[in-house]
Amino acid sequence: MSEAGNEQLEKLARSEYKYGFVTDIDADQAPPGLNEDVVRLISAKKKEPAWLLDFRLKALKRFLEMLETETEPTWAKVSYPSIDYQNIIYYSAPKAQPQLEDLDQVDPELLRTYDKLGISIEEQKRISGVKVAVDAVFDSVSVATTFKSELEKQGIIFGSFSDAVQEHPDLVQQYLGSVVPYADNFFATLNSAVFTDGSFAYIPKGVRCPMELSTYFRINAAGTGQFERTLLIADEGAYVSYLEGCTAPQRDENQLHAAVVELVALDDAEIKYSTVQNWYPGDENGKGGIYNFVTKRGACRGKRSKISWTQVETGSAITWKYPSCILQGDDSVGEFYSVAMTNRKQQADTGTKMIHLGKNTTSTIISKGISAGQGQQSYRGLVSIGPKATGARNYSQCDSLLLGDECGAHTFPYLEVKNPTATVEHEATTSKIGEDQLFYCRQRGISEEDAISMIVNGFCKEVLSELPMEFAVEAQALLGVSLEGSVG
Amino acid sequence: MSGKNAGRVNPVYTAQLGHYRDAQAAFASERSGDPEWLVGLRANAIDRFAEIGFPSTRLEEWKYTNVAPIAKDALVLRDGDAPEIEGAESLSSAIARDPEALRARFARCPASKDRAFALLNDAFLANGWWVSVPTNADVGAPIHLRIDGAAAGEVLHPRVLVDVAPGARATVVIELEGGPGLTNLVADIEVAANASLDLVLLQASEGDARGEAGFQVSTASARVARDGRFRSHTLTTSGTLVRNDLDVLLAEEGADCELRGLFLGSGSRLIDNHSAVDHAVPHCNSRELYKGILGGRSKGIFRGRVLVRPDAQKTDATQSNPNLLLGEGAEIDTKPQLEIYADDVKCSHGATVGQLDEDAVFYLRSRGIGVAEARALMILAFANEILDALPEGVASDAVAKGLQAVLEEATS
Repeated sequence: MSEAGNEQLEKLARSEYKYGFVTDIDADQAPPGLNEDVVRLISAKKKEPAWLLDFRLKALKRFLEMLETETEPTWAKVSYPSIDYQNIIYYSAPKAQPQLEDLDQVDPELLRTYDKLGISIEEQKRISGVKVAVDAVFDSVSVATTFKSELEKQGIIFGSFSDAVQEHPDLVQQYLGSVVPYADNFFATLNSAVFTDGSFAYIPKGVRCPMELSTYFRINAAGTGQFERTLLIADEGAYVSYLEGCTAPQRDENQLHAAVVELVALDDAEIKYSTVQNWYPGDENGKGGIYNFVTKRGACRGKRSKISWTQVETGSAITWKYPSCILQGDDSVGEFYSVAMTNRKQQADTGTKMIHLGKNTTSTIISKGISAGQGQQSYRGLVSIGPKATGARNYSQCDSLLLGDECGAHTFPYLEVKNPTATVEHEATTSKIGEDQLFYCRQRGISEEDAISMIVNGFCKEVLSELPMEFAVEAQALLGVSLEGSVG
Repeated sequence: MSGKNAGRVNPVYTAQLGHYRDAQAAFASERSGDPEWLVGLRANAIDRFAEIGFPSTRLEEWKYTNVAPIAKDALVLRDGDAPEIEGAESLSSAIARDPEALRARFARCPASKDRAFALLNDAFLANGWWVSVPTNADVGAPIHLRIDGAAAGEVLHPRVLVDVAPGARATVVIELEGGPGLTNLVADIEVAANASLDLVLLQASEGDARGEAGFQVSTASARVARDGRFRSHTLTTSGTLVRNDLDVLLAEEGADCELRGLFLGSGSRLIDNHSAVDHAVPHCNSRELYKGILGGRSKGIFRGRVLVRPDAQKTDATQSNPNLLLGEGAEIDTKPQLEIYADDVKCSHGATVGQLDEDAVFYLRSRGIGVAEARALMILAFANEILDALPEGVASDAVAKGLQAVLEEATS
């Protein structure tokens, strides 16, 4: 590519992480280490019922066993120095636990943080028309919930996970761990033992959630791993669209993030879960980025239910994430739309699992990977058609775009078909931006930078168009920012 | 794998290790007069094999193929020399004639490392052929190597070396006959600059309609030099448990390979095709097409891996694995994989699983063709893409018979 392109690429590569800052708030935190005391402390701080403490302790026991037998997963195509799980602070909360009715009560420092992130709560409260409820997770405690009462009118329960445990323990007990069991995998087990907070939503029968639910996660306080637990339940005939966005302050020390997200869709219910992930990816030497080891899974329990995952992954030093759908109900639908971008030394091993169990189940996988700099990324996916899943249908498409000669793009699909009525299609391509495409744009007077941005946006269009309006704009801007410095 | 995990492996995979060690000791003592390098090669192999045992399904490469039916029995070595065939020299006579040349040749074979079956073949290395095509020769008729099947409770470890010198052209057919025992073939292929080789691996025993042909494991690796061309055709219609590994290294610029395969499953056969293409240098092409037709309760497995190394720019690689799933209990597990470390490349892969198009069947029926015949026609058309590209002089009668068995099962 041309000299100018290279320069452009280098400039973009050097561009600083936009959201790198640390908020100075005193944190109330547990001593580093993982043991029964810490788990009991977390549970006590949250005033949790006994069954939840049991759940945590079972998970802790299993996790310590896993640590013993070295079953930390190594199959993913990522490499990182081994993590000392006994040197992580598992609980930290802002000292003043605000009971919020009014935004004036919120620590002004916090509000400034949100302003910097561009999610001013005041503004959101002011805006009429598009209503977006934000349950902002600041470190491990939810500090602000808006529009809650409006949702309550419709019978929708939406709030922090801890509040849900207090107010709707029966619902939490019924569904917690029903999609991702406490011993599911290494990181999910860790999460089950020490999760601090997250979001909970329940949409009652026949209710169409009137607004997009969204949460902004943020990691703060040095050396604090964050372990969210999210549980979303759409009862019969309900619909909900949930948005999740992430940014994190710039740090030198690697921060571990192991979240668990569980979705349950009953008969005729639909859940749309969208993520824009832009955590700190580390500096140009790959130092200091977030480790994002997430277990996300949705169960289409009911007939004609639908779960759709959309993700735009541009941040994190390491991403290890496979949002999955278990298609149990007949005629249920699973979808996965993903754009993953790795730049500098980022590594991403991401994909999905579509487990077809019910009759006439359908799944679609569209995955777009963009690899630049020295980024490495893998698509790893499973499409499994069970012996009883007659009439199952899957279509998968995984495309990779390579920018630069030091990056890598890999595809590891697994198709397991045990039913002769199934139709499964998978295709994948890997290529670079065509010189002729670029040339065409340039001879029409479009600069190289704009042309590349255009081509990349076109490459991702199928996925971006799946995002809710609010996110689509942010995602496009994010791709542009992340692409900066990678084009050449 | 950590020690603790290994401890959880089903003991069936290690149960017979003592037997093979003893058998190898007896085998080696009979051949104490062999060249030192050969004795050493065998000894190292059996030591390594005894360490790792037969592969369990916990290993990624063996995830879908359980070799317990092979591993559980103490199979007895069937000894005996390979017959002389025109164009091929038996290994034993080659070793006696020019041990130094053979030592150098074996030194170029990739190490068996963690491949249990290849190690076992190394440990009992004695039998087989060395096909050496001289510079610029054009061998018209295919060189046909027929390997008799092993009887029940027996194991065979044939070894085939194929060297095609610069500018030469040849077709080599390796035919594995049926037999209830285990045939454990290892083949090593070198295609020199500007040379061209068609390799046919035929696993199509006649009279093996319901899978009496037993166990067949093959491990083949090929290295292709500058502007060399390698085409492989793997046709599998027989065997109860078949595993084929094929690794191709495109070692110099301009090298080209085409891997084609057809596997027909009927009854309760298991057919596993693993392939890997290593694009080590720029400007190489690879094409891969494996087609599966699975009837009855058979199980098919395909793994195709394309690796494009950091400097291998201008690589053009495609891979495709369409499958027809016809039987009620049939299963296909497919893993087409791309691993790419260079940016100026064109790579794609695809895999499909489906049935016969009922609209097309209806069309044929509306033209007065019976339903069974219509289905048979369509299955045949699906298979013909592979069969039509077979090199001249390679009879596909046996494959056609295998196809018949699948057709009968699928259309009955």
